[in-house]
Parts: sequence; C-alpha cells; structure tokens
Amino acid sequence: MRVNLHVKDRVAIVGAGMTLFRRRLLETPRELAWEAVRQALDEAGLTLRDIDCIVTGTAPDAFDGVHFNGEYLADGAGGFGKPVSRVYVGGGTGVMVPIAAWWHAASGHCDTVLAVAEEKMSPAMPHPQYVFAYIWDPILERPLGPNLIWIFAMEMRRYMYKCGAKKEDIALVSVKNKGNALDHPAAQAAAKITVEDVLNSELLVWPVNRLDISPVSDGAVALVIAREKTARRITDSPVWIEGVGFTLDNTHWYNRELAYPRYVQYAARMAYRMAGIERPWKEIDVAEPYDPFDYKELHHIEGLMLARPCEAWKLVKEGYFDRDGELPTSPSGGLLGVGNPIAAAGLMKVAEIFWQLRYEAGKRQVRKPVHKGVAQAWGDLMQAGTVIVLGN
Amino acid sequence: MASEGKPVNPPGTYLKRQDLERLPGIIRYKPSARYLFAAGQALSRFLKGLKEGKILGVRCPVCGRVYVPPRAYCEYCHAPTSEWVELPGTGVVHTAVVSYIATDRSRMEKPEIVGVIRLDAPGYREDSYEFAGLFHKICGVTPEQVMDGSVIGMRVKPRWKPPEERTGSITDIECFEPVEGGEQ
Amino acid sequence: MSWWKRALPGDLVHFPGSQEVDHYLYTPGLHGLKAAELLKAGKVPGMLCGDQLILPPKTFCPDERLSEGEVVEVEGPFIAALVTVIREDFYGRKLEEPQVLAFITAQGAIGGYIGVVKASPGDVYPGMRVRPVFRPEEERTGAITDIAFWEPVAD
Repeated sequence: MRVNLHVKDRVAIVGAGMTLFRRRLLETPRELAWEAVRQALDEAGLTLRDIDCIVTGTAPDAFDGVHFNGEYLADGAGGFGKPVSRVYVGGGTGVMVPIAAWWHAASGHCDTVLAVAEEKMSPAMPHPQYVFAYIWDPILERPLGPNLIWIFAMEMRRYMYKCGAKKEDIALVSVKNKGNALDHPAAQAAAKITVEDVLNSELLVWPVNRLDISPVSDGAVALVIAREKTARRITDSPVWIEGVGFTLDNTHWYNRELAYPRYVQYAARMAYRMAGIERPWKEIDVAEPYDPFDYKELHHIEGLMLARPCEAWKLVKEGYFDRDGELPTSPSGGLLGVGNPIAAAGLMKVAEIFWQLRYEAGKRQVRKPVHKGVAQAWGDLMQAGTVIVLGN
Repeated sequence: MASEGKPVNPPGTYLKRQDLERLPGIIRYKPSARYLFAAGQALSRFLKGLKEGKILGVRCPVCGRVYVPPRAYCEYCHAPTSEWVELPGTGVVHTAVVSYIATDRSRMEKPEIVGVIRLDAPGYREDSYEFAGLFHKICGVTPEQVMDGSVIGMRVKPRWKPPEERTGSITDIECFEPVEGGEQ
Repeated sequence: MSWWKRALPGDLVHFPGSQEVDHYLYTPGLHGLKAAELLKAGKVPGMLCGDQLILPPKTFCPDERLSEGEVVEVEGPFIAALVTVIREDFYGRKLEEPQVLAFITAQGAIGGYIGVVKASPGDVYPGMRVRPVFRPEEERTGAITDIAFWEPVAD
C-alpha cells in the first residue's frame, strides 16, 4: 500500500454542527441537513458565500425512501450552483464524507468544503430492518429469508469463539457507551444500565439482545473543512486532518474469517502512515471506533491496532477505554448511546474527535490531554473500512 | 469554552408514533419494484448443479483457489477462472447463531439456526483468512449447542431436498446437518 | 475468456425478486407542516424570502445564510406557465380523454406546482390564467392532492 503524501495543502476542520438524533423527527431529510449545516457555519462564523464545494453522504436511499437522496437534500446542505458530490460506502459513509472533503481541499481544488451526512431511517415501515433485506445477495442469500441482525450475530459469535469472550464481557461496551451518552445533548439512547439489563433485554438473534444494538435514528451532521491559510483565518484552533484511509473488501462475507476485520486494518495502516503514526496504541489519545453493535467496537479497536487481536474485550473490563481511562473510546456515547442515523452517525464520531481536540466537549471531555484522535466507520457487507486521523 | 460542551442546543423536532400517523400532510406510499436478477455465467451453472444435488466450485488457474460460490474471475488474481470442481459438500461450521426474528423483525414462532459453513475445498491453507463457504441454515443441532459453542467446528453436510422439489435455488439445500459420528 | 463462459442465453438463469417495504411514511417537515395546514384550509401555500415569493415552501431560502422563510397564503393570480397534453397512460394505453397537465406558478413567484387543468387540449396555452379547485373539506389531508384540479379563468 503506497500513500501519496505530496498533498498541495494541509487541511483542517474549523466547525461542526449536528441535529438531535431521534427516531421520527418531523424534519424532512433536506431540513435535517439544513439544520446541521447552519450550526456548523455559525460555529465557524461563515456563510454559504464562503463555501466553495459540498460533499454529501447518506446510506441506502431505501431508508429515506427517496431516490437520489444525496441530490434531494443537496440544497439543504447548501449545495446549489456549486460543485456537489455524494460518496457512499454503506455504514462507512459517515467517515468517507470528510475523507472526500479532505481530497477536495488537499488537491487545492476547493478552499472551503462543507461535509454533510444525513439519514432518516424512520420512514420505512413497519421497521427499517425490512429495508436491509435488499443489501443481501438476491440469488444466494435473500431466498433464505435473512434479517440484517443475523450477519452481525454470526460475526459476534465468531469473535466470541475465537477470542474466548462472553456475552457479559461484550455487554460492558454497551454499558460504557450508553453511559457516556448521558452527557451528549443530542443523544437518543443514553442510559445508566448494567450488564444484566443488556442480557435481560429482548433476545433477537442469539448472541444479540436488543441492548447490544444501536437504535433506529434520524439525524444529520455537518463539518466545515478548509485549507490551511483559510483555516487559520477562521479560527485559532483548527483541527488538522492528518491521515485518511479507506478500504473495500469483497461482498462475499461468508468466504472469510469473521473474527477480525482485515479491511479496517488496511484502512488504518494507510491513515497512520500518512499521519506519521507508527505505534497507534501509544500515539492515539482518543478514539471513536464504529459501534453499531457492542462487539463491533471491540472488533474495530483491534482493527485500528489500538489493542492486539482478541484483547480489546479484556481491556474493556479493566476500564482502559473509559472516558478517564488510558485510551478513551467512544467518549461521545457512540452509536449505541447517541444514536445511529447511519451516515450521520459516522460523521458524528468525527465531530466528537474535533470537539475533544478543541477541548470543547464539556462534560464529555476525556481526562487525559489529547493531541491525536482517530475516528472510524465500517460498512457494506462486512467489507468497508474508513479511517480518519485528526490532530490539534 | 462552553461548560455544557458542544453541540449546543442541537435542533430537531421529535414525534411520537401516534402523532406521526395523525400529522397533517403525512404521505403514505407503498412502492413496488419487480426485478429479474441475472445470475450470470458462473452462478447459473452453480444453481443448475444444486438442482442435480451437487455443490460446484470453480478454480483460479493462477493461485489455485476454488471458489464457492463460483465467480467468473478470481478476486485476488483478477484472472478468468477456468475449471469446474465438484466438492463433496462437507465442511465445518465457521459460525452459528439462533434467530428469533424474521426479515421484517416480527418474532418467529420457532427459532431458526443459521450460520456460515466452511466447505472442504482444495486451494486453501488450513485456517486461512479466506475460504470456500456458504451461508445457510443449520439443522439437527439445538440452540443450546449453539450457545455452548459445540456447534462451531462441527463437521456438517448438506441435507438435500428430494430431486423433484428442487428448483435450481440455494434452497435446494434444505440445511446443513451434522455428519454422523463426524464430530471433531 | 475460458470455454465455459460461452453459454447460450437459454442456459443462463434469471432469478425473480422484488424490492418492497410495507410502506413509507414521509413527514411533511417543519414548514411543510404549516403548508399542510394551509392546504387543509383550502389555501395555496407559498414562502416569502424577503419580498420574493417562492413555491412550494421549502423552510430555508436560497440565500447565503440559508435563512428561514415565512409560509404564507398565495392568493394568485396563478398562471399555467407550461402546459402539456397526456394521451397515454403508464403502459402506453390510449386515455379515453386526454388530460392537460401544467406547471402552475403565481405572478412574481419563483417555482410552482404541477397540476391537472380541467380544460380541453385545444383551449389551453402557456401563460393562461388558472385558479385552484379544492377537494371537499372532509377529504383533505394536507397533501398537494387537496387541490383536485385547476380551472381556466376567463380573461
């Protein structure tokens, strides 16, 4: 893997905004984008006149129920009469959006870029899980009548088998993240719960119970991204995009080892190399690994090389990943706590690292001093990894 | 620095389920899109093989991997695959779970066990990251066996539907069941 | 290309499938909700961004601040700016009576609504004046279909 390090300009995040994450918001998808963008622009002290390009991201159109959803919501994101593009890698989209915004700016093509991610999952009835049926292969998988949660349960089961983790060990991630979310003003599923609550919640697909999973959400997040010169004019505390990485594996998820996400590791290596990070487990101060399910956070901590394979679950037990721990993960509350409007959830994680590195996270601020953070998302059929490394 | 922390007052208007249904201007719409999915050269032959009670794989002439389900090209070498191989159909359970919900998230009357089968196929190192395999139902085991971990690694074989009921679909295999006396 | 990839079309399998959800529920949105209430009251909604009238209301204005607009009743006059005559249905079958579809805007406004004009194809022309005819009050739901059709206004 070779990474082109000869970018034209350094690129920074200078503002972030987001809506509430809730199931069933009154707002239309484009209104959600509009609300998030207005907040991000206000935080940066800019107006649309200062913005050159727009990158949008939303996951499958079938959730919002609008084809061309990216184009549909573009005007709410400020994308009219300007270069607008939409990127898509399933759940990985949320982190792919700022990556694409980065190359828009780092190439010198745009001075300022809005990175906007939106998702409205609640329109699909009776339950958005039904819509997920169409991500499965129509010939080899759909005839078996799968539910989305099956695939996660299979991966979780494999992880448990390979790493010797028990359900109660993994449930600690849900307890941690939902607890962290209590301090997040936009959170949907914040709660003080115990491991027993997770184990006693509705059993969906063993080993997955309801509280092992993030909720169904609507929401949007926006970032303002600028090249160095402009960024320094806008703010005294820009947060630099120091490394980006993204990888796609094939869709044949049942033709590979499910206990370890190789594609996340590839993406992480690419981002770390660009950021000059050699020992991520020492050099990263705060992380937002993607956590649509509790075991997924462990999976991704290992894929990001913040812990050795099969060791993340042991470290969770020691409090290593708590907000006041050695390496805080998901201090925002993650998808499990804040909510999971798919693309917007990934971008929320990037926004959280941005706020953490600016010491603006209020009660969510991690205890240790922070210099470098990593956010990561995952998507498609167990195949996409997107990673972004930020520094202050 | 805001002591409350960012984001400050995130906007958004939450609706309760019952309010949603009564909202003026709410639009209810039912789409219905019908498709005919082309199986392509490789899968077409695989599906016909299923109808005859065979699990067919296809070999890459460069790296020697045998693909199940078959593809027209090797993903790793990007070379056209060349030779068909009939597999014994046996394999080991890679992972297995117990589902209590259907596609639309309604509760199932009877839980269903599904998983990934790592098939016995030439061309792979033992315990390699990638392998020939299928996603399918698993029968002849109990939910308790799935939960205590004894199903993973178990040797299994396909249970075929009677020939007259086969249609050339993945469901021509009813499920994978344990090989008699074949536990590892 | 290896030899086996030369199957005749009849050898290839096609697998039927569908993509459906039970249904979608689309929320009207912030200003859409106000617009829905106007429609239910038998009024045509629009949005004011400063002095500029915009149809249909969209919550935010196309300005540099994406500022919030004001939902107002549009009294007209309404103009069928573009008209077209439909003679076949979705499946190419001839309609018994041709239908006139128009893009209807209001004097001085940006944007407009698509609507059916109750008139014979020979009598319609771009720029003609029209007015909305609403469904009976008890049938209205707050959707754009609350306007049953538009009818020509004598000049």
